[in-house]
Amino acid sequence: MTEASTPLARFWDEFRHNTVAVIALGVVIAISIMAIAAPLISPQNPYDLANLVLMDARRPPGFVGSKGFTHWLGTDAQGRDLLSAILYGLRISIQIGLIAGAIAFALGATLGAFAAFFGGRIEALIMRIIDLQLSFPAILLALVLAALLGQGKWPLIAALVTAQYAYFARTAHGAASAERSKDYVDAALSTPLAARRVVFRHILPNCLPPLIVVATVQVANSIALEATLSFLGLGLPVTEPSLGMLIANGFQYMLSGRYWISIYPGVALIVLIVAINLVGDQVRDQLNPRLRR
Amino acid sequence: MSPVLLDVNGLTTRFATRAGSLNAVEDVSFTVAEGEIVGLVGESGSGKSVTGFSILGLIDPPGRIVAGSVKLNGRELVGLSHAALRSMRGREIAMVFQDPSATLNPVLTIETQMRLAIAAHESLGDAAARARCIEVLGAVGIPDAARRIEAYPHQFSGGMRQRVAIAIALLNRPKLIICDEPTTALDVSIQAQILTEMKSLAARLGTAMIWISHDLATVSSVASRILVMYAGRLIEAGPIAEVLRQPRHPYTRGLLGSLPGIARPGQDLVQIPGAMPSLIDLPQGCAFQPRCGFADALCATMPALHSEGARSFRCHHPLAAETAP
Amino acid sequence: MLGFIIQRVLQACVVMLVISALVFTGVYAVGNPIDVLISPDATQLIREQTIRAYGLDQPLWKQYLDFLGRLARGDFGRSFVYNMPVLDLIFSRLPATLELTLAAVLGATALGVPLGMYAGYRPDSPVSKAIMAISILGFSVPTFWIGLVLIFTFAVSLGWLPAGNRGDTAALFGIQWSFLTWNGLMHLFLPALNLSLFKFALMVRLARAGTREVMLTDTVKFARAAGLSEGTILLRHVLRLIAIPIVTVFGLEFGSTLAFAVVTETIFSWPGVGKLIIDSISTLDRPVMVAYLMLVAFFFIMINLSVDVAYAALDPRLRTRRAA
Repeated sequence: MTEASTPLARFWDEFRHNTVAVIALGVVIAISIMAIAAPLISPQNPYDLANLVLMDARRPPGFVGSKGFTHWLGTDAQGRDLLSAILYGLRISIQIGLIAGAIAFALGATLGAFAAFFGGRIEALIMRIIDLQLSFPAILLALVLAALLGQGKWPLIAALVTAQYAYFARTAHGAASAERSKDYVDAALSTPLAARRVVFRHILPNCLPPLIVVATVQVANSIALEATLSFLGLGLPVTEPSLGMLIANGFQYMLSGRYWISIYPGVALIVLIVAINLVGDQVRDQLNPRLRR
Repeated sequence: MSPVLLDVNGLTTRFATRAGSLNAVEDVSFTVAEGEIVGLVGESGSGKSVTGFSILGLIDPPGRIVAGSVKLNGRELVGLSHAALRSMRGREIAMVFQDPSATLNPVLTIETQMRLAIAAHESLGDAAARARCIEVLGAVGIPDAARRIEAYPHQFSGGMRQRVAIAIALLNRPKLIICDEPTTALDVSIQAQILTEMKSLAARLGTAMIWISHDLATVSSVASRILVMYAGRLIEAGPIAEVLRQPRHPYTRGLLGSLPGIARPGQDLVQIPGAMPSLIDLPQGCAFQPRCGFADALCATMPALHSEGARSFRCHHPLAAETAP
Repeated sequence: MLGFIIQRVLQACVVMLVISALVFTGVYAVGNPIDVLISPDATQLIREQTIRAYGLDQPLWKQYLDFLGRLARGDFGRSFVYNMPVLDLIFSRLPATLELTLAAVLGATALGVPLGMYAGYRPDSPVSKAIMAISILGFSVPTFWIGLVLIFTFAVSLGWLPAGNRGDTAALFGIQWSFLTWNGLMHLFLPALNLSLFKFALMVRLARAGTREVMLTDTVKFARAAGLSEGTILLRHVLRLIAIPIVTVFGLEFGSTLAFAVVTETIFSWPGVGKLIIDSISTLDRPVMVAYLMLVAFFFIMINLSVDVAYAALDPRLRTRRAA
C-alpha cells in the first residue's frame, strides 16, 4: 500500500475521513459561492435605495411584494428583501473576515518572526508592544477604534486588524524562537543569504502549523467581531447592511412577534461561523503534534 | 531451579489501524523464574515493548490481546477484570519506563507521587507511608532522602530521576519488574551505575526482571537469559553466555556482528542489509527472509520454535554450533 | 519570588503610563470635544468660556500633563453628559458589572472544566460528542445573538424570566448587590448565562484538549502501571497538569469577559459599566471613555500579574528560573 506523497495530500487523506468536517467544508464553500455570486442570484439589490418600497416593509416570509417577486424570507424595516440582504450581508462578512484575517496574519507573522530572528533589544521592544496590546480585550480595542475612525469598510478592517495581529505576532514569535535555535538556521546564515530571505524562506514556513491554527480561530473571530460591532452601531454604514446590523435593526420587532427580521440573518451568520469553526477544529487536531494517531 | 513466576504462552496482540490490522506480538511464549533477570532484545518495531505492556494489560484500543495466556504464579491475567488488573499492577508486577522526565509528573513532588503509588494498594498512615518512601529512596541510592523527598523532579539529574522511578516501582515489593529501556536515555557513565545497582537490588530483594532493550551490551551485563524478537515473533532464546558465543539464528548473529566492539579499527561496520519489514506487509513465512543470506524456498513456511535443551530458535537453517563470530 | 513580583509591578506601572498617553491622545485628539458640551447655536462667548473651563484650548501635551496631575489626585474629570465626577459614575455602575461577570465566569469554569475533562477522557463516546457540539455553538455564535434568542425564548415566549434590567439589591460590605435577593437572581440569570456561554465553551475545549494530550503521555502510563485508579489519575495528575493552561486562559478571558459584558449589558439593559461605555462612545463623552479605558487597562494588568504569579505557583519549574 503506497502513501500519499505531498504533505497536503496526506493532510487531505486524513481530513476526508471526518464526515462532520467535510460537510462543514462543503457548507463554507457553498456559502462562499453564494456570497460571491450575490449580485447575480439575489432578487433585489438591497443597497439601491430606489428598490425599496416602504409599503412592503416588515412583511412575513412568502409575501409577494409590489415589485412582483416573492420575498422568500420576508422584508425588513426598510422594505428590503431579506434574502437579498442576507446574501449581500454574507458577502460582506466573508470579505471583511478574510481581508482582516489575511492582513493580520501577514503583519503579525512577519513582525513576530523578525522579532525572534533579530533578538536583543529589537525583540524586547516589539514583544513589549505586543504584550501590551494583548493585555487589552480585542473587542474594546476594536470598539474604540471603530468609534474613532468612523464608519466604513476600511476603518472597520483597520480596527479588526489592530485587534488581531497581536495573536499572530505572539504565536509567530514563539514558533520562530524555537526554530531560530535550530541548526538549519545557522547553516542558512553561513551562506550569503540576506536576513529577510532566511526569515521568509526558511524560518516562517516551519512556523506555519501553529499560525494556521491561530488563523482558523481568527477568521471566525473576525466575522463574529464585525457582526458584534455592526450590532452595536459601529462599523459599516446603514446603507451597506452587514448581518450584524440587520439583526440589530430587527431586535425591536422580535418582541412584537416579527421574528424573521432578526432570526434569519442570525441563522445565516451562525451557520457560517459554526462551519468555519468545525473545519478549523479538524485542521487543528491534525496539525497537533502531541496527538499521536 | 527456581519456581516459574511468569508463564507467557502464545501471546498475540493485534492493532487495528486505518491501514490494516497488524500483530505487534505474534505467538510469543517464554517463562520467567522467580528472581531471574531475562533480557528481551530487538530492534524498534520488533514488538518487545508491546510484549511488556501486554503482560501488564496496558494495551489501549485500537490494540488488544487476541490470543494466548499470561500466568502469574498460575493465575491467568488475560481477560481479568479492570479492578483485578489494577490491583495487580504495581503490587505484583511493576514497570519502569525509558524517559524519567516523561514518566514523572513535573508539577508534583516526589513524595506526592510515591504516596499515590502506595495509596493505590494499601492505606498507610502519613508517617508510615513517608518512612517507607524514604527507606526505598535510600535503597536506590538517593542521598539525603528525607530532604530530597520534598523536591520536584526537575530538581534531580537524569540518573537520579530514573532511580526515583525505580523506587516507585519497588514501593510495593513486586515480584516482577518490567524495565522498558530504562538506561537508554541516560549518560553512558550513569548507565553503568544504574545497571549494577539494579542487578544487586534485584538479587537482594529476590525480584525478577524482564529487561527490554535494543542494546545487546547492556542486556548482556545484567541478564542471565536472553530472548530475541523480530517482527513480533520470538526467534531465539537461551542462556546469555551461550547465545552470545554461539547464536543459532542468522538475525542474532547479524546483531552481534554489527556491534561496534566486535569490529576492528579501520574495518567497516557490519550491517544487516535491508530493514525490518512493516508489520502490515509481512512476507509469507519467516519475516527475516528478505535480509537473510541463507533463505530458500523452505523459508516461505513459518518455522516453528525449535528447542534444544535450554536453547530455542525459530529457523529452518539455523547456524551450526561452530560458526561463532 | 518577591523580586519577581516587584519587577512585574514596575513593568506594570510603565505600561500604565504608556497606555494613559495612548488613550488620552486617541480620545482627545480626534475630533472636537467641545461640540458635545454645548448646543450649536451657543454664542461664541459661551464657547470660549466652556473651552477655558475644561482646559480644551491648551496644547495637547499640556492637557495631558494636567490630566496626569488630576489622575494622581484621583480626579478623572467630570462626565460631559452626566455632569458628575467620572470616578463616582463608574464606581456606581461597577458592582452590577462585577457580579454579572463573576457569576458568568464562575459558572462557566465550574461546569466547563469537568465536562471538558470527561470529553477528553472518553473522546469517542456520544456524550463527549454532544458536549463538543454544544461547545462549538457556544464558541461560535456571537454573544449578542444568544442574548436575543434567550430573551425571545425565556422572556417573550415562555415568560419565565424577566427580559432585562437589574433586580432588587441588598447591601453587603456597604455595596448594593443583586445576587443577594431572589428577585435579583431571577434578573441575573439570563444575562449571566448569556455572558458565560463563550467562556464555558472555551473551558470545555481547553479542558478536553489538555486532557486528551495528557492521557497519551508516559506520566499517565506510568501511573497506570503503578496501579493508580483512573479517577485518581484524572484528579491528581491530569487536573493538576491542565490547570496551568486553564488558569492562564481563565485570567486572560476574565478580562475579555468583562469587556464582552458590554454587549450583554446592552441587550439586557443591565445598568453596568459596559452599557456606560457604549453610551459614552455614541455621545462622545470623552472623560468617561478615558477613565473606562484606563481602568480596564489597569484591571487587565492586575489580572496578568495575578496569572503570572499563579502560573509560578502552579508550575514549580518556573520558580527557580524566575528567581535567578
